Amino acid sequence: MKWFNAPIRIVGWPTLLLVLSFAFVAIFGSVVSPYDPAAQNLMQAMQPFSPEHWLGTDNLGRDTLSRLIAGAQTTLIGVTSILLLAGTVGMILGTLAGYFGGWLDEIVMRLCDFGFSVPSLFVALAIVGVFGPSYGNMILALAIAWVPIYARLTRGVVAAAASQPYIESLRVLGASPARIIFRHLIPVALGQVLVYASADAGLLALAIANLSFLGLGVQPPQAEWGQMLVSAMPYIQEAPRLVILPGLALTILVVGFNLLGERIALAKNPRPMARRKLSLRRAIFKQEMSA
Amino acid sequence: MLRITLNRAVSAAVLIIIASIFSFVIIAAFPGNVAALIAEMRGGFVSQEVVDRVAVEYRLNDPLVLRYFHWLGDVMQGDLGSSLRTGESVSTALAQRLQPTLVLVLGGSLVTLIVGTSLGLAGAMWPNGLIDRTIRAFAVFNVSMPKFFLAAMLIYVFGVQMQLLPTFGFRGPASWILPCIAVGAVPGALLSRLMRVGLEETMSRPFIITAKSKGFGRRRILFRDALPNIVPVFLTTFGMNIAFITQSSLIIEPIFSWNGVGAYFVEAARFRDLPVLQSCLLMFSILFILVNLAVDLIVMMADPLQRRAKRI
Repeated sequence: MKWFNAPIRIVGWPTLLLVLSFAFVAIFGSVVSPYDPAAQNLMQAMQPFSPEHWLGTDNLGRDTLSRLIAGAQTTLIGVTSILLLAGTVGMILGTLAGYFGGWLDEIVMRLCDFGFSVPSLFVALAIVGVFGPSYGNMILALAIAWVPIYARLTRGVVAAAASQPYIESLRVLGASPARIIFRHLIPVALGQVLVYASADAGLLALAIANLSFLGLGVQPPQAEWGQMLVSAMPYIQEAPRLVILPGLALTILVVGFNLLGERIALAKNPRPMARRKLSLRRAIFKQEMSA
Repeated sequence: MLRITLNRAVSAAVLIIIASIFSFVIIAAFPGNVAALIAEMRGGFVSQEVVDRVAVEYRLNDPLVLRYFHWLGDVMQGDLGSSLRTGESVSTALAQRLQPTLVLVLGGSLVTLIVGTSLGLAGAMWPNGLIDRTIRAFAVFNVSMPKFFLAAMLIYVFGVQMQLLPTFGFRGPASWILPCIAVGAVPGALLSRLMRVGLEETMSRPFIITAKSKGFGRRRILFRDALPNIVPVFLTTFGMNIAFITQSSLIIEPIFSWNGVGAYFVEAARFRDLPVLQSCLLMFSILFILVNLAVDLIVMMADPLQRRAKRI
């Protein structure tokens, strides 16, 4: 189990366990889930905690625990696909801009400036509004809104690396741009992007929940925490647990992601004072991005 | 100073142009026939003839560049088009809905300011005291808790359980309290952390030791010597918070049934009200770009170091 030691040392047991348990629930959701999350049973509506329904049932008699598990699945699949999409597109744009420079760099960076000056939720909301609310469109919209971050990050890393002697020597030796980019620049950028992506996952989980909460993301039969919470709001007086449970699940997941991202980022920066400032800067940036 | 100001203003203008192109293109990218959608929303029998008439009316057959400049001309004259759903003018609707959003942003900023400065100063005054430790303990929760969950909990505790405050509608100052807390609490907590860390760092600088050796009390050193040093950072964060609070209005206004601009935007997205979406996106983008510009300039005025560095 040697390969397992490094992640534990960097991240620590509790955080790793927290994130992994959510991943486990999401992957094996259909197996561990006690009921069908979409199965309605009006005879069993609004049940409190009981041995049959551990976390009770909602206004349509659906099992809350099963729906929470299905929500974990929806959220994590969404987060993964958005990160893959935004990361790939952002890295391509950023590498091209950083390596070739010139007007391409100018255009990409101006677009990034725009992406940074307008909070991502606005951009995502407008895109969903145009294409119509659905799970797929929400993922597309959030991916578009998140591209500038990865493009700028990659561009910075690539531009810094491209002026280093070893890249210049490669060029002198006659290596093609494709070879330099794919063999030497992308691997450097990928490391940075992955570190950043681990910190971004929590934000994306929040963004998905925000859009679904507004009725612009995941659509009703499919379970999602933000949408579960909003549909439980009318019953907040009789059954506050229907509101609290999905909110709590989301909060815990995001705490897990944030701790994970913070630890991974801090592992790259060993100075204690700089560490505190770094983590604070990330927190502030993060809150500006989320809503 | 003048040169930097001009420089910043020009790049802000470029950003605004990009924002206008983006707001335009996103609607032009609409999948399907816009004319048919508009005709359908107007109700009645939708024939090819009606669709054609709508297309001519909205200039949908013109080249894209021409349409962009035409639209831009209209926007410059304050004509943002009219809502597809209700038919009312978008600029009138925006003006009508400005008040709740303004209250939310100002009230939220006030909460942020009060929470941030009081907790931050208390934390720096008594390092490792109760307040300091509490702020740090909740640090992770701050960014992790969704706004709508916080708002729902506020509604449950103060509205449903204690029946203290109204939780529905924009009706007088009492109904303003919960939404403003919901948007301002988290940025406030973050601001306090920022002040705390900034002050801690400043308090370890040599000139503070000099002040201590002169025999000044901790309170005097903190307020008179250390505090001015973190003003630039404080202003930058606070400016960012304004954008952030405005963004929260998208979530918070619908929860508390406020008829603000944020709720208008969300409504437009739900009903595919293209002109409203376009105008809201453009207006918010311009607002954020201008706020960023203003914050940059104010920080430069407050911080001589930045002025000299000529960071562009």
